[in-house]
Amino acid sequence: MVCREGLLLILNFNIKNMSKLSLSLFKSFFYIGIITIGGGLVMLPLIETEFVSKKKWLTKEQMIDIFALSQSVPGVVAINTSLLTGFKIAGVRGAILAAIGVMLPSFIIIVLITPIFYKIQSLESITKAFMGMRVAITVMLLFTVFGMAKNVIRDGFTLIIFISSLVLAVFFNLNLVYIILASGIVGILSYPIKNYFTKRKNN
Amino acid sequence: MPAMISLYITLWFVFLRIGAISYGGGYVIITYILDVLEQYQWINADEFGNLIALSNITPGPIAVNAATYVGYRVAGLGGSFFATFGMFLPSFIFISIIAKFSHKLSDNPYFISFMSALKPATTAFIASAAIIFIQSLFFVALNINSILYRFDFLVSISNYVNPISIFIAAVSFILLKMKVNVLILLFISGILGLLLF
Repeated sequence: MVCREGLLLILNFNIKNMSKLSLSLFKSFFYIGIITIGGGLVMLPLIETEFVSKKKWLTKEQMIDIFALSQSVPGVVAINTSLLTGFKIAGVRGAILAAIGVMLPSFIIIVLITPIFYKIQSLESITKAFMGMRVAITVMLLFTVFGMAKNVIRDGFTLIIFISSLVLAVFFNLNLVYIILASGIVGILSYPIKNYFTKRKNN
Repeated sequence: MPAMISLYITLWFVFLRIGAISYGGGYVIITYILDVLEQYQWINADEFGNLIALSNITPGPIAVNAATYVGYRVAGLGGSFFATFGMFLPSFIFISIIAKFSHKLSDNPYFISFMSALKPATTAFIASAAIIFIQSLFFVALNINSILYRFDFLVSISNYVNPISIFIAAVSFILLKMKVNVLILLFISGILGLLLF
C-alpha cells in the first residue's frame, strides 16, 4: 500500500514538472509504438500523420528532413526518429519522453510474453510453426539484401567492400564491429584518393 | 548479487555497442545481435530465429523487441532494462549532436563517403545472417513423422536439402512478390510449417 502511494506520488511529481508538450509527445509515440507491427520504417508514415496532418507541429519538409537524418546516423531508426522529432518540438525533455514512449509498448509486451514464449517454444507444434516462419524470415532477409544491393552497390568500390565484408563475416567469422570500422575508414580515405585521381585526369 | 550486476553491465555495454554501430534498420541490428550471441552463447541461433519471428508479429520496433527479449532471457527484467537502455544511449548521443549541427554534417564530403562505405558492408551483414538461417533450416534431415516421408523421391532429395523448407521458401517468395503483408506471410508460413515439418 505504502509502495503504491509512493509510486503515485512519484508519477504525480513527474507529471507536474513535465511540460504539456512533452507529455503529449510521449502519448503520441506510445500510441504509435502500440499500433505499428514490424520495423521502424512502418512507423514513419504514422509519425507524419500524427505530427504533420493532425497536430500540425511540424511542416512536411521538416518531417522529411527528420526522416532523412534519423536514417543517416547509427542506431535504431524508430528511436532516432522519435528523438529528433522530440528535440524539434520540445527540446531534450521532449526527445527523451518521445523515445521512452516509442520503446515502452515493445518493452512491456516482450517482458510479459517472454516467460510464456520461452516455455511453449519447445512444444513440438510450436517448434514446427516457428520453423516455417523462420523460412519466411530468411526469404525476407534475402529480399532485403537484394533491395539494398540494388541501391547501394553502384561501382567497383562498393562491390569490393560488399564482397570482402561478406567473406570476412561468413568464412572468417570476424567480429562485425571490426569489419564496419575498417569499411568506414576505407570510406573516409576513398574521398581524398578519388579527388586526387580526378584532379590528375583533369590536368 | 555482484554476478548479476556484472551481467547487467555486460548486457548494457553489448547493446550500447550494437546501437552505436548499427546503421540501416531493424534487420541490420538483428545481424549484430546474432553475431554477439555467437560470442557469448546466451541463446542459440534457432531460438534467435524464433525471436525475430516473434518481433515481427508483436508491436514495436524489431530492434527494441529483440534487445528486450535477449535481456530478459539473460538476466530477467533488469536485463531487459539494461539492454534496451544500452540500445537507446548511442541514438541519444548521436541525435543530440545532429540536432545542433545537422546541415553541416550531412553536407560534409568525408561524412558522405564514410556512409557510402558502410552501406555495402551492412548489406553484406544481412546476407551473412541469411546464410546462417539457411544453414539451420535447409540442411536439416526430414522428420520421420512427416507426411512427406512416404514419398521416396522426397526422401532422397532430403539427403541434400530439406524439401519442406524449399517449398515454404518458394511460397514465401511468391507472397513477397505479391507484396502481401508481413503478418499474413508469417501466419501462412507458420501454418505450413506446423502441417509439413
